[in-house]
Amino acid sequence: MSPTPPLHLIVRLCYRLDDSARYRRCKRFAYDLLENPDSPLRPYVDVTMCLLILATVFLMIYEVRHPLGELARGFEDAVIGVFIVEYLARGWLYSDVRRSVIEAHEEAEFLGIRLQLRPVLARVLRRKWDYARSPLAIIDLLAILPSYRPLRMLRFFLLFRVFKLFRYTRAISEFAKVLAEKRFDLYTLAMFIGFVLFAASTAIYIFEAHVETSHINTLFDAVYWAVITLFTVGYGDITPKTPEGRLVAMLLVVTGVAVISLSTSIVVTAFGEKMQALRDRRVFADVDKLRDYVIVCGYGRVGEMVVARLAEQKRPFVIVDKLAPNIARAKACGHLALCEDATQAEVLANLGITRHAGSILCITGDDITNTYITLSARQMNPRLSVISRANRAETIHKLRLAGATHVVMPYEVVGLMAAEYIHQPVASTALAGILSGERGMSIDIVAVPPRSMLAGQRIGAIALARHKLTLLGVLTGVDGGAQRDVRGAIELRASLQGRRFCFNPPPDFSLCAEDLLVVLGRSVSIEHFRAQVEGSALHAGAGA
Amino acid sequence: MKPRRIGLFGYAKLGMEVANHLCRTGCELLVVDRDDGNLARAAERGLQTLKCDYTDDLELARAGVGGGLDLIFVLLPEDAENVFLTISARALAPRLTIVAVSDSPGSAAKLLAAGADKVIDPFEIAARRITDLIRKPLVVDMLDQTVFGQADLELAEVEVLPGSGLAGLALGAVDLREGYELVVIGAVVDGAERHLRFAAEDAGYRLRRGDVLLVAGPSGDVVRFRADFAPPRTDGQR
Repeated sequence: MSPTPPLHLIVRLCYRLDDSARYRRCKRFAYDLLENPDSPLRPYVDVTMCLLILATVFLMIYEVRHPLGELARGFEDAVIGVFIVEYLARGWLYSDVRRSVIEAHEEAEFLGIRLQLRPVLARVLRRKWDYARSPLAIIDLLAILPSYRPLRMLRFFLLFRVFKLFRYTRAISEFAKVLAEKRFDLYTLAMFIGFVLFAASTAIYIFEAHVETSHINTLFDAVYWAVITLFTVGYGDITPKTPEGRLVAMLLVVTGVAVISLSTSIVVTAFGEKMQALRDRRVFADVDKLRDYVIVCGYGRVGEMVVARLAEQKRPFVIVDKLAPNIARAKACGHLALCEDATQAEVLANLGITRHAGSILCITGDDITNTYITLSARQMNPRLSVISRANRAETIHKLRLAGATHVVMPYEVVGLMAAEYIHQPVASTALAGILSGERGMSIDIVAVPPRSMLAGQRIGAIALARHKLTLLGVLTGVDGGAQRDVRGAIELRASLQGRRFCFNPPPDFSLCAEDLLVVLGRSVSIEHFRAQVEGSALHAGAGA
Repeated sequence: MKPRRIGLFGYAKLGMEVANHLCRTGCELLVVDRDDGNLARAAERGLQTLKCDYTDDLELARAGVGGGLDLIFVLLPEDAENVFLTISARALAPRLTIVAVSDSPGSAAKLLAAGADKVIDPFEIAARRITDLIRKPLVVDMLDQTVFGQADLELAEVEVLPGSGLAGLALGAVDLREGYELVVIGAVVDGAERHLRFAAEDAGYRLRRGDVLLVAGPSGDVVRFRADFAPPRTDGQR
């Protein structure tokens, strides 16, 4: 059933807005500006708002003794304007009116009843009221209201602008959160203080209100005296004159010391308990900014060397280790490190394993831990590259079953190298040198992009020697390899996606797009050659 | 010069792995350890064993250091023990080849100073592999399956002997010879520091007597290449 005419228009408008990409972009932008903690714009907005707030507070203090000029007044009005826009924008962002209307409309359609204006309005307003009721929104409103002339006497509330700073500094809100966790202890303490103050001020009032020489004439005097004494300030402007009053004072001072130490200890323990979590949260926030990073689980002997090499390659990474001394060492080197148990799925999730992590290294000294991390990482993200360390030969198979992309076994490599060494000491040392990138030499792969200067070329025609490179072989492309008659090609396992390796291809071997050249040379030469090849592909693409 | 008798000091995790690989090389292997449990495990695998306190020079000599052994692997779990054994062995036998394993970053230099010919750092190798797997997985995979794998492809060394026809040849000119499926990687120059020259960079370098040419290729071609460039007279004496 169609709704009543004015409502009909509203519903249509809502659907229009819901479809409009522009409207959504607008709202998204406002969200990035004001609410989204990950937005790159947020820090700038926060700093600007803080400066505006401090400027208006400064003007307010200045105004007490000096008249404000035209310019300052204009500035204040402009800032108030910004505050109003911000308040309204936050209200706009808090809930989607069009969604509420559309939901109500669809419900009505479904139930076959006529859509009424009142319930829809109530639904919308209820959501907005939730916003207006939230503490931060109230602070915002109180910071704006006193600027309205008829409410000038509420000038005191202008100080609420300072509280607005809460919104823009995360440290303060975390402080508040920590205290909120100790809510129960603080309530208890407050009740106790309230009781003591009540008892002490009543007692002193009863004992001294009728004494001539006493300064306590009203109940307010009594409360004032009790508060000043309980918190161990003791100005001495009001002092008890009767023995009974002095007895009350003595008890009150002793209680006061207890109250102060108790409240201090509550705050200190709250922070002691939360400090680690706060630090961890900072690490998580830093990790969240990274892209395609490596999660290194285990910062032992292997971990340390891996991290050193990753840092050298300027690849982003984060270290997780159970042992605090390891983490302390990592932090001393300025690395992003977290003292947590990586076998816990929650830790991995917080490190963004399902989002932006590129690979995870399970390289602790313990095979059981490595297998467990491998398994949970693989389950959480099937596309992640998982590299695991096996300390015993039997574990290799288990790690593969658990989903490791690659398994590295330190001791096996030594065995291989030892056997190689006794045969050919010179060659094995040279190979190790090349593999470890000694003197800048390395074996690397140069792709043959379609339409580049290499595609369709014969091997003999490429002057690799001019680039100071040695061609070791060609990895034939995925699809083209099968049809081509490749003499002596070595079949590779599935991990290389069905490619075949042709070692030392003859000069008349012609290259196809998607082939990969395996070359040996200085990293600079390889980079240069690769840039040339890729550049030629771009030129060809632009010319075509 | 291929070693005939190899001494393997220390049969723990690492020693076992090395022994596994050495078994296949056809060398005579002697496992030396202080611990009876380790020795029993080695004996179970059919290895020749000897119980020996390697802090004692007399016992070392009895094991064959300075006598029957051509090469020893020092694979003890403690760095200090490794350095001590290396020094003792070097003092006893100046011509013995000593291959040691280092367990902490600083110990490689100490082992070399103590007289080891080669130091292997398993953790450094593992770390290198792991970072390479992240950076260029394709290359690592390819090397694993070719040079280190079952495929018939190896990096081989060919010594430049007097009168072999290799001496005096430029590095860049070696691969021009027809008939071998080989790639010339470079040459290790004879001399104190065993400097490696790459064919790609120093194509003009002329090989001299005592240099070692590095080639990669199928083992059949390597054997043929070696035979063709071996001077007839000196062959067999080594």
